[in-house]
Order: sequence, then structure tokens, then C-alpha cells
Amino acid sequence: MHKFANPARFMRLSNIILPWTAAITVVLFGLGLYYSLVLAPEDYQMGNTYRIMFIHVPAAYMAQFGYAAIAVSSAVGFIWKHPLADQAARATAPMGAAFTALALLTGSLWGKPMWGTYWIWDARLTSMLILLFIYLGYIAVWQTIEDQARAAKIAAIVAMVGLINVIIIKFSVDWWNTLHQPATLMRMDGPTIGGDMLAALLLMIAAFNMFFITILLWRIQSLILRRRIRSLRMQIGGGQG
Amino acid sequence: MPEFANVFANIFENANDIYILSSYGAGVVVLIGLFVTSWRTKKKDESDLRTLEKRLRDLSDKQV
Amino acid sequence: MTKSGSTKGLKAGARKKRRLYLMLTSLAVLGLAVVLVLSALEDNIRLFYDPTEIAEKDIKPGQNFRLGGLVVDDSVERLEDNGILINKFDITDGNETVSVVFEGLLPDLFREGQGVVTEGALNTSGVFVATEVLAKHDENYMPKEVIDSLKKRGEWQRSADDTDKTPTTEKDSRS
Repeated sequence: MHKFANPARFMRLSNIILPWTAAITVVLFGLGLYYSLVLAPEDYQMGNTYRIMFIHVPAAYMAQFGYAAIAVSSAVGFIWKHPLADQAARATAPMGAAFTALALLTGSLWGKPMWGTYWIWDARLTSMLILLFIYLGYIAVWQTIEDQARAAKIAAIVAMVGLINVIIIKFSVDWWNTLHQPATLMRMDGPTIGGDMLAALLLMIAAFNMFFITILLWRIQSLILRRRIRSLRMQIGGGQG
Repeated sequence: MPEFANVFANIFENANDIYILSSYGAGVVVLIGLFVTSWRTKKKDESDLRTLEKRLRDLSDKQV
Repeated sequence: MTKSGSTKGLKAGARKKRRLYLMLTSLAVLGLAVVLVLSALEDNIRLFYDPTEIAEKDIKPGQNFRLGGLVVDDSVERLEDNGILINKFDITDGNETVSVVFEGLLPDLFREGQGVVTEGALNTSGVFVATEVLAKHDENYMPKEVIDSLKKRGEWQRSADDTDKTPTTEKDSRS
């Protein structure tokens, strides 16, 4: 396991993977958009407006996927003290926050014409807003605490505590009565969407996922480079002093 | 509401298209934003590292 | 933190295990606390009450709350009163029914047989005077053509069929 945590090895491996993930991302977005906007038929109730889901659902999914990824790598970093795991968690946070904001915004743009309101304080929408605040809090911990080891520790605790909110988001529509409808895709009796609509949704989720991986690899590379920069600066400073 | 929709019929096929377009627009902004900022930071970090490594080599050359 | 570098082998392994257990137990305790808090707050987290609960709770007229349920088939009426549009409809949960009046425009998805959430208060005669009507949409997505062909063959049983009569579905034709 420690072999994979070796930053030099990570740089080498990620440089090999990156062109592929980038290419797959582009292809998936092309296909996904074609399906979403052209092939997928109009919904029997919502007409064309339901097409917002092809942005909204992947964004909301990535918001929660990103958080789960942060929690897992934080736990690994916390227990086994892997610096790379902490860096991966840190690199994920701004992306997760951006996708959460996108999910909230597109949900709002979908809610206005369909529900009749941009916002309502129901359990799903409120817990999603709390997720955005947890992301921002997590980012703030990394930025305000100078000592990296201490920042990693505190950020990991924040990440794991916040995991409870992700569980609440998922089940909010089942536990309480909400304006937001229950799950379409991740349900026990199979998805309540089919054909080209389902294909469009799955393609867009896959595209967002590959995009996420590509950008995340860059961001982790950046953080590794910055660690090296910091240690070189200290060497130079030490050499001069 | 249908009367209102007719006014916009020439611009948008449907009054709700504005919400669809803004959603896809927001999606594009977020994706491109993440792409550009992450790419730029990475390139900057790479060049910072190169200049530092060069400085370190110069310093050790002097010491020798 | 710096200690872990100096001590190796069994001791470091034991510390990792201790960290793992510490993390798991604190998460379990925290989870339990959250469950307790959420169940205590249950009444506040719920977005709306259904007609049965309204009947049981004996709510005073004028008290503001949200009422949710399905719009009863063939109950929607539109009245024009001096140019002011007033919508009348009934909301049911399959058990009890509450009559609602609402002045203003209804959302796109408002249909008979469809879920709605309304905000307002009961008047003295037990009618719910809504200040806001929001439509719920369900988790089902289906192509329009499929529904049309099902309707043609007479296999579409849902109330969506009846809604063709209601004025609010005029919007469908334009999309």
C-alpha cells in the first residue's frame, strides 16, 4: 500500500493515465450532450424542462461522491498517516464544493418552472445547502492552519463528522415529507426512467465522473509539486543561513 | 401563462427554455472554471519547481 | 505525530489500531446523537401536514401551516371574480379531504391527481385559504410518445388522462 502512496510513483503513473482520462471525458461529454439534448425524448409531464436533470443529477451525484471520497481518504490519512491520502482529500474539496453549488443552482432553476419556487426549506434542499457549508468549512481548515500535519488531522475529523450529512441527504426524501421527489436512479426496485432518457443520464454521470478524475489527478499533482517546492525553499533558505 | 409564452415564441420555443439554457450554461461555467484554474495552478507549480531546482543547482555549484 | 517516526513495529501498529477504534467509536456515538436529535426534531423537519393530520390535530383558523396531498380528480374549478382569478380544488391523502382556495397562477405541474404542497391557513368554515401553491413532481420520467400511444390504446389508467380537461394543462400543448 505504501508503494502507491509514493509521490514520485504517483506522478509517473498519473502522467500516463491523464491523457486517457482526458480523452474519455471529451468523448463522454460529446455523447452525453447529444443524448441529453437531441436523442432523449420529451417527458410526458415536464416537456423539455426535465432536461435540466442531465446537469442537475450528475452535479448532485458528484457533490456526494466527492464528499465520500474525501471522507475515505481522510480516514486513510488519519489512521495510516499517508501524506498522499491527505493531499487527495484536500484536492477534492474545491471540486466537491463547486459541484454542490452547481446542483443547488440547477435545482433552483428546475424548481421555479416545475414546483413554482426557486427555493424551499425542505429536508433535501436544506441538507444539500449544509453540504456546501461543510465543504467550505473543510477548505477553510486547510487554509487557516499553517502546520500541515495538524491541518490534515483536523480536516480529517471535519470530513468524517460531515459524512453523516451525506447519509441524511440520501435518505432525506424517504425519512421526511419533502417537496423534492424520491430517488429515480438509486432505488431498490430499479430506476423509474428508461430508454434514451436513462442512457443520457448515465452518460452524463460517467462524463462528470471522468472529468472529476482528470481534474483531481492534476490537483493532486499540483499539491505534490508544492510540497516539493516548500522543501526546496527550506533547503535553499537553510543553505544561505 | 400561455399568452406570456406566445410573446417569447419567436425567441424561445418554450418559456421554460430560459431555465434549461441557464442550467446548461451554469454547468459549462463550472466545468470550464475547474478545468482552467486546476490547469493553470499545475503549470505555475511546475515552472516554480523548475526555477527553484535551477537555483539550488547554482547554489551547490558555488559551494563546490 | 513526530513520535510515530521514532517508534516502529508493534507499537506503531498498535497506535494505528487505537486510532481506528477511536475513530469508529466516536463516529458511532456521533451518529447516535444525530439520530436522537433528528427524531426529536421530526415535527419541525417535515415540510407539510396531510389532510388526516389536519383533521386529527384540530388546528385553529388563521394559524399558518403547509398542507400537502394529491389534487382530487374533477375537483379543480376556476372562478373569475372582477378579473381576479380564483382556483378551487380539493386535496386528499386517500383518507381525508380538505378544500382549498387559491388566488393566483398555478405552477406548470399542477394537475389533478398530482401532488401539491400549499401554504396558508384554514378559515372559519374549514376551507384552506392558500397563499402559495407548489407542485410536487414524482420520480417517474417517461417519453411523451409512449404515454400518447398508451392513451390511444386505452391502456393509460392514470389521472393524467382527465387532466386534459383542466385549463392548467394548456401549457402542455406548447412544449
